[in-house]
Amino acid sequence: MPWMAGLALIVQPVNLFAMVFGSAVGLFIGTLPGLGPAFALTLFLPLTFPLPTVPALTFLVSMYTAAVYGGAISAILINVPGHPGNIATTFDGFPMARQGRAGEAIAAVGVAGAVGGILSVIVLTVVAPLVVDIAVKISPADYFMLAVFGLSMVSATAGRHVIEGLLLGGLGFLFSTVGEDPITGSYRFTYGSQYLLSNGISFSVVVVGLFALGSAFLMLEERHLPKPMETARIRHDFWVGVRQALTHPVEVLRSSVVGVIMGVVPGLGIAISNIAAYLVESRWRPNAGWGEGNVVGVMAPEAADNATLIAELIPAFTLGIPGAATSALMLDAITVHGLQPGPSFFSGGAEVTAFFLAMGLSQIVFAILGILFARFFAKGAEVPTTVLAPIIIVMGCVGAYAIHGAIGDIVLALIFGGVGYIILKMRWPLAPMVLGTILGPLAEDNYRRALLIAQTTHQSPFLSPLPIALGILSIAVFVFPLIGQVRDWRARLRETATP
Amino acid sequence: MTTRGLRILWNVAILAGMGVYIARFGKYPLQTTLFPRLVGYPVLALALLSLGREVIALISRHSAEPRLNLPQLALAVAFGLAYLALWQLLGFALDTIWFLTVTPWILSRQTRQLPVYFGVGVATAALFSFLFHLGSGAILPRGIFNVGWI
Repeated sequence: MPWMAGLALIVQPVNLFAMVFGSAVGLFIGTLPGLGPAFALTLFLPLTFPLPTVPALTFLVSMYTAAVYGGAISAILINVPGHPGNIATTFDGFPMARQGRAGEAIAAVGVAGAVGGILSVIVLTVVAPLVVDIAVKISPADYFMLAVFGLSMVSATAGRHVIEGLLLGGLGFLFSTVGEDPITGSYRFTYGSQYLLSNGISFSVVVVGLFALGSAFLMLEERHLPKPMETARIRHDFWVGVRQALTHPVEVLRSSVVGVIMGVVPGLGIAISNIAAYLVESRWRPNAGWGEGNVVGVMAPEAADNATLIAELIPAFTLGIPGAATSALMLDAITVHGLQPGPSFFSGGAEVTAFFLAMGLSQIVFAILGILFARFFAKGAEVPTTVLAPIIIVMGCVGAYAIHGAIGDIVLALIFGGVGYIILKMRWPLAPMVLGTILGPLAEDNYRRALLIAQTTHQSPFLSPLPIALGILSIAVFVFPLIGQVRDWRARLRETATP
Repeated sequence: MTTRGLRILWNVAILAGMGVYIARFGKYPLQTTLFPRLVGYPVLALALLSLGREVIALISRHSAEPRLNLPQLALAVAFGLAYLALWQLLGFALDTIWFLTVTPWILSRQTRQLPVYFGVGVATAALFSFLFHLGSGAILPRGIFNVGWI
């Protein structure tokens, strides 16, 4: 890969500005409760359409990685995790802040997160080309079953809502069938609409509706009025935090490895990896004052978060099969900006290496910005929803319109905003529908190709070992939680029936 | 309406949508609808399963469900549609300033904050105008400060 050419590109002033600006925007959005990297990408991706590839992707990837750190700042200072990925950070972060060690915690998290992210970038650049070598040998039937397996894993991690998770994933698949047939090029399910005939149901419009407008509608319905929050004072003991991170290299690296593993497995994501890393560390040294301001308790979750966020991109960029909503959005971002996932991506030119370098350098930039301006970014959590929701509606509508330049995009985004509201209100996962919509074309294309191959070879391509194994795994990950769910449900019914 | 009512309504809407979707299968060549059939029928089954479960839970009344804030929900939908109408009527930028000034004021009824809301509206409109002028300008088909009907 042309690393020097990529470096020459990334140090250009416009790209450095995009990195700093993207990190600042990501940090701010990250502090807003409930809004994380997926939301940030959804809102800003359409706005980057007119920009050249490198500044646009630098801006997006910087925002993507910084958003999780922003959530950690509000978790430490005001005990409000910006995102489910920051929940474990509150366990020791807020106690540290109450002890007057907020600056130490923020700096330690910044350094640990940067280490986790950089380690994951190295893994991505080293491991992903090896995966690509395998990817070129994968048949259409394998690809189809991989897409089904990815979706079933994500749906199965929906906890109590496995049926709804699968239903949403299936609906995502079906949305992608509206418009042009990928093999014959004929049109279907357009219901006489000129808009659907021209654009189908675009993935970008769906995510703007689900994430941005859905969140805004929920804010308006629940109408949480702002409460004055106690923001912990920040003493300038940042160097103590940096030193803490440097004196705990084993813990930071161990958590980063946990994060990488969690990122590669579809469906797990940062919401699980931060708690997993915390649990690993707390089991490693059980009597180390967990929950009372242990600095490892803030470093471990954040190192894992950043590692997971980058590692999620490995299956997305190599196979084109994302394992989480965030990586699906990054996949969409690189595609709309002219880069193709798969083998060609890793043998790509300076733009690709510049993207990888931006991913690594942004880890350092957001850590510095977060440490210097923590108190300012923490104010994001105090923005009233009455102000935030209209801004999100405006940005969502403008973003939707930017996709095809059609008012129909806004109408469709508003409809999906309603769908997103219902999903968020019911606490169902958004990821299966997002993944279904992006995986749908890939799944259908490969399914149809596999059938065409079967017509010529007179052998079912789905009866080879990999598709069978993936099929069994897909059914298993769905059936096991379902059995437990049915058992719980029957027990609850029995309890209510007993007088 | 309770959240269970909304879940039932959601499942009914999916079933109706699936009915309309599946009814189109016969209109296209078989090859074109192979994948939609493969996914469509399981989705229909899942929607039926989900609806059945909600109805049984409703009949057995085994848990209390939180109520929805319907007036606020209607307000939220109205705001989305109002923004769309303003865009059509005023053109881009003016609608943003108007919407971001008036909406937070209606929602919070804090008259003292009006200048702040107006500032946010102007800043957001200016930011979008700047961003899109960097590129093709396609986002502003009728100019930055287009007042539409004037």
